[in-house]
Amino acid sequence: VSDELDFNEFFTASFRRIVSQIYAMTGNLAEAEDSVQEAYARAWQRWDDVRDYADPESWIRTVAYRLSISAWRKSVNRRNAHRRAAASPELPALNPDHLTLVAALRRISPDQRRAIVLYHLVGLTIAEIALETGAPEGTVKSHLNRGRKALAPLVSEFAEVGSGGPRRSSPDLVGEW
Amino acid sequence: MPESFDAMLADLADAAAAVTPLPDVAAVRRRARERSVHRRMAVSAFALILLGTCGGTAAVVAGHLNGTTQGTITPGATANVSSAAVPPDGAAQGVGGTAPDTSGVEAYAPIAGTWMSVAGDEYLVVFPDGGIGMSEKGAWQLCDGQLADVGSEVFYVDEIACGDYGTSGLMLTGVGDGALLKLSVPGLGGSTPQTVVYRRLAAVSAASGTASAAQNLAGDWLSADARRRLVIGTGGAVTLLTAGSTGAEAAYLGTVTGVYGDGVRVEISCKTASAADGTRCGVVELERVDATRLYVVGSTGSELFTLEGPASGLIVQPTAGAASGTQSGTFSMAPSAFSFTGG
Repeated sequence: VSDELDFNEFFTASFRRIVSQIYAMTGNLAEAEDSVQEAYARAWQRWDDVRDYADPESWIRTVAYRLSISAWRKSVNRRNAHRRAAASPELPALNPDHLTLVAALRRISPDQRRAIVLYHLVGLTIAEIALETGAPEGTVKSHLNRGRKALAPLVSEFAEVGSGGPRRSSPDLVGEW
Repeated sequence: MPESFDAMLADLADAAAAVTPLPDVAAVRRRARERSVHRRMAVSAFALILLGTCGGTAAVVAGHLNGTTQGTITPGATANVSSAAVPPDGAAQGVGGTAPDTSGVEAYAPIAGTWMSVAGDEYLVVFPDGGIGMSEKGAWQLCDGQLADVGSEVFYVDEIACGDYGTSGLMLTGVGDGALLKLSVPGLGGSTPQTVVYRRLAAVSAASGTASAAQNLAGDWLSADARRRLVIGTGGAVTLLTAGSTGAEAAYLGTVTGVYGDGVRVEISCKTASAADGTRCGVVELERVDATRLYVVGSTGSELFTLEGPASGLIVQPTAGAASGTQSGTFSMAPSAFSFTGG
């Protein structure tokens, strides 16, 4: 019973947040929901271990992301996603800026998008992103830089990166990049 | 576009979260239980196939899809042609069980080998017993799967363990003179079917059933970039240590579950010391180059490892079954184990 209560609390507190993060990484809300649900199901199977991890949310996010990008899993996820998409309209709250951002994110590579979301939305450091993705820190920096350059035409904040000019003086960027 | 990209991204995420319904947590737990049952059914079905019930293969597959094979036999303790049947849920396999018929195994020989997608970003390993490994983006190890031969050079892929997810309806088909292999993912829910075409990189030998140089891999191996260490024990236990960018280490424990030609198969389990329902996490292929070098084939292809210390002996030993007259190449399997730290 204690396990169930712990899991319930963790699930309720984090489910929507992780769905939104996976959505930002993949651009498909229905598939994001299904992948995250699947990740929680796996977490429940080994909750005795997952609950003790330093960052269970990171574990869920990593599993859900892998599920969402796996080509053969998509064949199953898609079936559930279609069912869900048919039942509810997707993101009625999206405004034109949101749509522009979603379109822009879809134009960069999955690795770049994942790094961008982990850094700018989740708030992880370069080192934490490297740990979560299994990529060297240099690779993470490369993904971030290239992603920002690709987004530069659409995101004025990144324009200087895109033009090769000096970076903005944002403290976190100066420190990390 | 607003100036603050962070704020814009946060707004987008908030909008997504706002329209995302919170599922019933009990349904999530039920989903976990259902998948466990599904996996056991799938493994049981393929155990039947591997045990030589080829005449009824199609019926077994159909029966599995209809959920009628639940409660059937589990894989035996040993398997022939240098490979083992897939262990259920990473469970330990005993020693000295009855060796199964090999009639179902030969069907996989034509496509056994290492394959790379035409796009060059995904790998597929087909083991001589129909075991397969498929690239999983973002993961080091390959997804661990199993083929069923349904005739006409078509191979049905049911069980794919990336973690422990099971899916169905995937087909592998040899194309042309065997240089290409096509993975067909059916369209579901009105979606477009997908196809991945692989080209052959290397074939593996299904004929090798004796202890070979490939088995003499026990030792401490280090990857070329020094970020991964592979420790292979004389009993078939394998430990992989990966160095994270912050110095943290992740440890995967696996088991050698098959020997063939110049290589071995290592299955990595998600099972933990405390989790009774542990499952397979993935598989990698080890191919010996020479006395001091081996390739590890994972999701991103081959990675060269170099022996750091002296080799300490064979990693897989023939079982009593081999000595008593069954085909040579019947091997005992050590229990799977898994732990994960620092992640």
